[in-house]
Amino acid sequence: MLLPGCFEEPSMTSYIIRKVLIAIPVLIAVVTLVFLGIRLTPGDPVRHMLPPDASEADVTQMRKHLGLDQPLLQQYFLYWKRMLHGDLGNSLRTRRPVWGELASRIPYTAELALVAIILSALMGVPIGVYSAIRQNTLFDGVMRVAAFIGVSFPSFWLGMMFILLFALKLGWLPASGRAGPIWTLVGFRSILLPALTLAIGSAGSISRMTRSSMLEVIRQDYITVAKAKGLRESRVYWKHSLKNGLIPVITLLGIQFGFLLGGAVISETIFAWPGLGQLAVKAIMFRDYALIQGVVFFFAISIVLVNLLIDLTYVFIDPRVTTS
Amino acid sequence: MKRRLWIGITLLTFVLAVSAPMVWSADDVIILGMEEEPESFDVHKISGGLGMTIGHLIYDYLIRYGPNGERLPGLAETWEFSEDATTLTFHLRAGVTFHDGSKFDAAAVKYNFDRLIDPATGSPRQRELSNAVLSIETPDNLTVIFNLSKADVAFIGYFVGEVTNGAIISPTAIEKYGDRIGSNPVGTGPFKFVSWELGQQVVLERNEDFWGGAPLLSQIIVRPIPDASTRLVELETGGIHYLHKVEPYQMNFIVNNPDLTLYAKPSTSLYGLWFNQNREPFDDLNVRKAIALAIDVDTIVEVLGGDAVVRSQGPVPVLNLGHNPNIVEPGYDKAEAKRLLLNSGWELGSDGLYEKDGQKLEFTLLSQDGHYIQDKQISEAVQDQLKKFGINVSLRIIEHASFNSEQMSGNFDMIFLGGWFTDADPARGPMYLYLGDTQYNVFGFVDEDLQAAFATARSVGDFEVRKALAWEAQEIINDAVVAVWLYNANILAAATSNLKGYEHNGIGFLRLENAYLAD
Repeated sequence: MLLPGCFEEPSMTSYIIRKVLIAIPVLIAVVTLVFLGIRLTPGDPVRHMLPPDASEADVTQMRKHLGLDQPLLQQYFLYWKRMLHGDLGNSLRTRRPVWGELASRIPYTAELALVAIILSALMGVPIGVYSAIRQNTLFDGVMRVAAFIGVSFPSFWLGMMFILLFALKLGWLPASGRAGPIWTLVGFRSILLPALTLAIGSAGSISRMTRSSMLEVIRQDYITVAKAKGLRESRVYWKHSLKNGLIPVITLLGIQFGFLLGGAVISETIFAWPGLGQLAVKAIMFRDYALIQGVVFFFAISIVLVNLLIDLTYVFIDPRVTTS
Repeated sequence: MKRRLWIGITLLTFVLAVSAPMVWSADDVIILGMEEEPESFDVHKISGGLGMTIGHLIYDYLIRYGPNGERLPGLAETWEFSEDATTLTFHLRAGVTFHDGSKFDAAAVKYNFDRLIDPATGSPRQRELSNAVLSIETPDNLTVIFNLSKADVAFIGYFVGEVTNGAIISPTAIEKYGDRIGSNPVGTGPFKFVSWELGQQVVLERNEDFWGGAPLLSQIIVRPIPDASTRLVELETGGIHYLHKVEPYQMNFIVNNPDLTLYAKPSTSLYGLWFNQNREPFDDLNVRKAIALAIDVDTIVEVLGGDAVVRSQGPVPVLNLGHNPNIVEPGYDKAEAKRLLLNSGWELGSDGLYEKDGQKLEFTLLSQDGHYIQDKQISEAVQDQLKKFGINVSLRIIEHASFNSEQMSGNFDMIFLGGWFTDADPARGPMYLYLGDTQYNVFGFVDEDLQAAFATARSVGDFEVRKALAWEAQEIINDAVVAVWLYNANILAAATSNLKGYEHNGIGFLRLENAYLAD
């Protein structure tokens, strides 16, 4: 029952190439917008770098030292030229290479995002499936409200409540910081609260999406047939229906990843998590041009990559989706 | 059933393991919670910030800043100016070694200042220092002579801790690490740098060979915790022992908690509402003075500032060595304010607002929300009081980086502004705000006599004479009503009550060599 063109190798390769090619103008646009955006926003990093009693001449000299005295267009092309050579420049604030700053933080944001995605899927999918099976019961109603609340609560508030409850009141978990690698007990304990804060919102959306997608699936004939054949109900729902109901959920996970990176900016600041989000906040406050560009560029690349990955996942999960 | 039992046991174990209380540190290790991460420890290149604050634990300066602003011997035991104030000689401490084992001597001092003066370093003090210093001589191992381009007694300020970039870094380490010295600092201070995990922690350990005697703590861990509420929870739960930046609204809470100690000390900072004299109607002294008279500053500062601030007096912080205690600010006198406005041709219109030639008396106050203590609240109170008096004030409250940019380009009518003036010398201190040639005088206030008086003050060796000149200058500035001065902020920190021996000073840098954790 294969549809034409389905598992043809060349089309898969060209599919990936096409997707990557589409990503290039997106990245160029992101770099350009960020480059211009931060320079057009009021605020001057040089003023932060100099002592208050510095004179105008000091300002001019420092600007020259940093190459910020050149025309904007020239700075822009210089930035591209350097970037194509793999050089993202130096942070104005720390004067360390931007690559190094990013590299030291990427693993921490990645582990936080990963744990958050897993947590949100672990919460969202079972709740969604169960809500669909028990449609319009008390459970469904309660979960609907819970999902609504989860999506609506701002993470800075939720994070603070978690800290007050789990760190201050109960004393179960550390309030902030990354105490070690995630596979150690202290490390695992320290990632729970920030990841949970990030996950709650996504879990809400995921449970709703799973529910509606499952509802669609379990009304279909083959499910009725499966039930009529006498298969165990749990097997019908959790295996046959879920596999088909998950496709829109996976798309949603891709979209959620972008939100997670955005949410990480807040969650990392509240929980003093040493990731990119915290770095981004500091860079923006300081108008650290090179670092802001670096962080946003990295965010953009990862979102593009994750969505590419998701597109490819469809092909494997659902043979009906073709690469054509 | 068996399966469910296993799931139950696993879950229970998990919950018990995860919720076990956390033990962070040993008895002689303390954890500091800071509001951000230090930008770099290359103190020659940075301007203020936590790199300098924490740098004070690693580095020494030729002169130490004492708890009350006094100048104490540091790496230099004594120093003196020549009679004409054009050479400054330091006699260095003998037998001091850097953490990497290399020797501290006159050559090391020269190496450091040569680096500061070298344009390739990119120090914020480069231009200033290269203008001031003609040459640096090292006649012997323990003597350094700075030959100055002109008589300048205030030059001593460059060598006092925190105020400047003049920390002494190991030349061997600078050669070894190059640009990476900022992440691998080597000094002569009480604590040695051990490691820095970006975004997570900086670890320092006791310098057994510290010239002032080995510190009591074996290790210091510095953690960046950007959120103020999280920082406080960490202090309450023992996650940190010391909290560097207490928010004013947290003060009461800390005072009422017997396990915590609040440290508050007046600082050499000054905050106020500054007039832009380049704009009408603030080019008119009567208008400036009338506005100052129409604001009940004492009450506003007392009610809104509380214990987080002290009411300032005039254009120089009260704690500054050059502060003139005889300054009398305009005060609160609405009748006098009205008289002054009438003198300048402003009359009360039918809508209750002053106007002149069809033009209402109104302006915009540029302010921020939470960057300075009670900035937004005080701005609103001022707006309210002036409205009742007959002056329309619109508030423009913006984020700090934008605020900074508007300030520096002089794009404001009135601005809620403040800052730190760590150099207590009467001829330096906050004077750069009022002199014509610095980037921070954005108020359109220029007074030739004042400039001349300061040029003289800097060349006079006698402290009392400099002070007299500074006092006179403050009278001139006060009479010109350059600003409505509000308060000097207190330096606020908190610690767990078992942290003893911590020296809290008016600049906010850390002195921990005598600190220890009591049982």
